[in-house]
Amino acid sequence: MRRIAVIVAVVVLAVTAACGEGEDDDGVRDVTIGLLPASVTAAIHVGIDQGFFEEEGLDLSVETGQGGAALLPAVSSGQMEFASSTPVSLLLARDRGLDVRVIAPWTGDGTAAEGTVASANVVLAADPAIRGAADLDGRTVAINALTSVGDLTIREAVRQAGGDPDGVTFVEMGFADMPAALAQGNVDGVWTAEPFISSLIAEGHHAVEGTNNSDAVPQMPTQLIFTSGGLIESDPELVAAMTRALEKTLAYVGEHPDDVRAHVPTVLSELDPDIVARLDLDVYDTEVPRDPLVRVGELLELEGWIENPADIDGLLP
Amino acid sequence: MRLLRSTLTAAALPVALVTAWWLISRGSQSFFWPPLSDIVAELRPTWLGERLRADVVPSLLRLATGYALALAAGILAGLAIGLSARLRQYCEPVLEFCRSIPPPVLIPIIMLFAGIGDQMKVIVIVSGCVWPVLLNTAEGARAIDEVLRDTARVYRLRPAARFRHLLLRGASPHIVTGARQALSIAIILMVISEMFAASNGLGFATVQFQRSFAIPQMWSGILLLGVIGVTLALAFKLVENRVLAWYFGLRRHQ
Amino acid sequence: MTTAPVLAVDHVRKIYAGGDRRVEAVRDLHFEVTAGELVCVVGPSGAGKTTLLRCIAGLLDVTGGEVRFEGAPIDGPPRGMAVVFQEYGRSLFPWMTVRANVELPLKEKRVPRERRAVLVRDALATVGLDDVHDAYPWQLSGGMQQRVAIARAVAYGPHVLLMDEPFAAVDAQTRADLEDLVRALWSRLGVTVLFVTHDIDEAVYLGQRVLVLSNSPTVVLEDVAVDLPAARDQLSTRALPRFAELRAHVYGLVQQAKRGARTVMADPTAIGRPNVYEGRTT
Ligand SMILES: Nc1ncnc2c1ncn2[C@@H]1O[C@H](COP(=O)(O)OP(=O)(O)OP(=O)(O)O)[C@@H](O)[C@H]1O
Ligand SMILES: [Mg+2]
Repeated sequence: MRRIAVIVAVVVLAVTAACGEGEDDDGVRDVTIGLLPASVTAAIHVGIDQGFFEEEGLDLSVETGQGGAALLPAVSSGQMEFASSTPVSLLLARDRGLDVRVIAPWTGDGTAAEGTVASANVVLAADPAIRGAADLDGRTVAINALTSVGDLTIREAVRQAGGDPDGVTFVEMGFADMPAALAQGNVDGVWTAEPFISSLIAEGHHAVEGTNNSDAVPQMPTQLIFTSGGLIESDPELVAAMTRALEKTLAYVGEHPDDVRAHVPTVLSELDPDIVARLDLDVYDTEVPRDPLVRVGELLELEGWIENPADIDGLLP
Repeated sequence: MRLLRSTLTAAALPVALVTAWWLISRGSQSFFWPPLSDIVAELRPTWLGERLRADVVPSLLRLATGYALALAAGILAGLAIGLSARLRQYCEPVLEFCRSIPPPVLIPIIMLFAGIGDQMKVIVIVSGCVWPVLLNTAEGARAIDEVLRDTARVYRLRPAARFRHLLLRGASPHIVTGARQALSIAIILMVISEMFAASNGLGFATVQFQRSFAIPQMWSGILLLGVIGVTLALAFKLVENRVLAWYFGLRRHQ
Repeated sequence: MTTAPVLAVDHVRKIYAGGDRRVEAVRDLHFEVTAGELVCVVGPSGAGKTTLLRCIAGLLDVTGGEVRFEGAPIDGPPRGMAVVFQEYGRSLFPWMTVRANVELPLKEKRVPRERRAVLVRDALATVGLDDVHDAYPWQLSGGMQQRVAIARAVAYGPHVLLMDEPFAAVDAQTRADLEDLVRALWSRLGVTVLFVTHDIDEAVYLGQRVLVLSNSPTVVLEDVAVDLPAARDQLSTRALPRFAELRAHVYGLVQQAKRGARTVMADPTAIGRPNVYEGRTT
């Protein structure tokens, strides 16, 4: 009981502390966006450098301290105004009654990249016997979070390849722990992202065919920028300004990948410069694609993760 | 009568807090802060069905295994260290080093040699709760009365009897203190270990509920963890009262 | 009558060495105890009485000389010897009942269960504790606790019983009772008793002999034979003129010891009849 009391107290404090939004004298608005501590976030710094946010009267701070899981609660409690999340998380949240709304695209489907390896997530394996998605049946795959994009798309990939998705065991593991787990043989495959994909390939691991996100859901955006329904209603101008600034940023970074690369160390200061130079950059969408989201919604329903048909219209702007 | 009163005293604050929680949260519309009535209503359907076997039992088994191993290792090593001044000198710096490492930072390293299965999670629990047991036991072994030790020698107690009747019982007040500290650490580590490379468990399921925005279920997991913690603490108290009945009596008589 | 000594303390020397500090507690102790004797040891505080007793009990290694028990040199606590410590509160296992305390040494001796029950019951009856078998030691008074410790020693069936100031911490009335208990047990069981005390009255009242120790580093100052009648009684024995004489004599010796005497000076009160030990006569 005492433990519960402590938890209650902490939650109460967190909720009450989660207020605060400022406007400077000169009309510049302080806003915060929560993004992942990953190379994709470099793009937002490019946008800030280019002055896209300033033009809209926004003084944007970027918060990367919180992991993806904490961003939805943070936005809906008002701790921050905007954040990125996956379509899966956003649709799950809406299904449970959390009013989140997408205001802009963010990272897109990896197949649009120029490089040979997709920048979106893919399963890498050591065992040469694991060639295609169907070979994952009966194997263990590490993903960064359960009940999210990883297991949804891998299960679909296995299903499409004629395997039994229930035959795949998923374990949750941080991206950083995956290479060691794969080397130790604790898992047969890891569903990972850059820069780990590049270094694992360099170590002789191979990508499993058909396990890219785009194989399960073509053109699926990996992350979208969202805010809370409450903010859209109470301050539509702020949201509109943010959307415009983000659209300018996305249009610019599509043309200037080197600017993005230059900002990777801003986000990941400890990353080896060699790796930064070789990194496959994320691909950014310039508009939110509707069809892939509908497909994600169908899969969520198929898996039984949501109870009602996915609320795509409520989610999109 | 006295028992009744002390029970009431102990229960008063928790009852008040739960009542306050119930009243304050009644009719709450907040997504992350559902009414306590909703949370309680989730307890049964969420945990008593398939999850009892799939999540609750594996968690408790790992907890029990890890705690038991930590007790056994901590008591044996603690007695050895407490009884030998030489051993103590050698071990002290290492012990201080080991106990100050928070086990969660060790998890990736433990995963390297223990894999990602139950073994890893049990080792995480052991690596956190062995220290209070060990250090307290060593202290207890040192504190065993010299006259009693002489008595045991004069009457030629054999090693087994010396261990059981002199060392274990003599150090038991300290051992119990260490074991109590270790119990709460074990529960915390049970949950933390399930946040790494897990695929089942009470802490794991609770985190998954949070991820998938099943907030009342998440709260019911937290509530269940709290209830398990309280139940274990009560059970511990019962065992303590039995094992240390002599000690409490002795102290009252002094 | 030439009985072999049950206990021979043969030029025992004990130096405590801890770090770079050396304390010579016992220099040269030499005496024998015959089977069935009741010998008291007195001496000033810090004379080394406890040290001597612990050497005899095998709890402490001697630095020089040796202690022989029934002919064999002592090396660790021997079978057949029991000790009653001064700190009764600390020598009973507080987590065991009175019965379990008395029974434990018997279990370790592998005495069969039925026999153990009899021995425990008899021993506790002998010390006058019939109704506290299931009590814990700390529920008893100091005198009763020391009785339990004596019962434990008695049940163990020792040939030699060592007692280190066993009654120093109990009140005067209890002490008198316990003294009579020791006399009674000794004469009934025929056990050899070495009884350390700093109380001169107690030593003379109880003993057949009184060993007076010098100051530390210790030697035997004098071995006083107590020629009082064997049947002793707190009132009549203590009223005997001979008791007063022996008491005065031992008192004089202890005073000399306190002043640092290593051998006995000519003393007008020296009317005891000291035993003769290897080359040293008084
Ligand atoms: N463990 C020890 N280390 C060093 N010196 C000791 C130790 N034990 C006793 N001594 C010293 O040895 C001497 C004899 O001590 P001991 O306790 O045997 O005397 P005692 O005759 O029993 O005294 P008391 O009448 O106070 O009980 C003392 O000078 C004491 O300081
Ligand atoms: Mg002494």
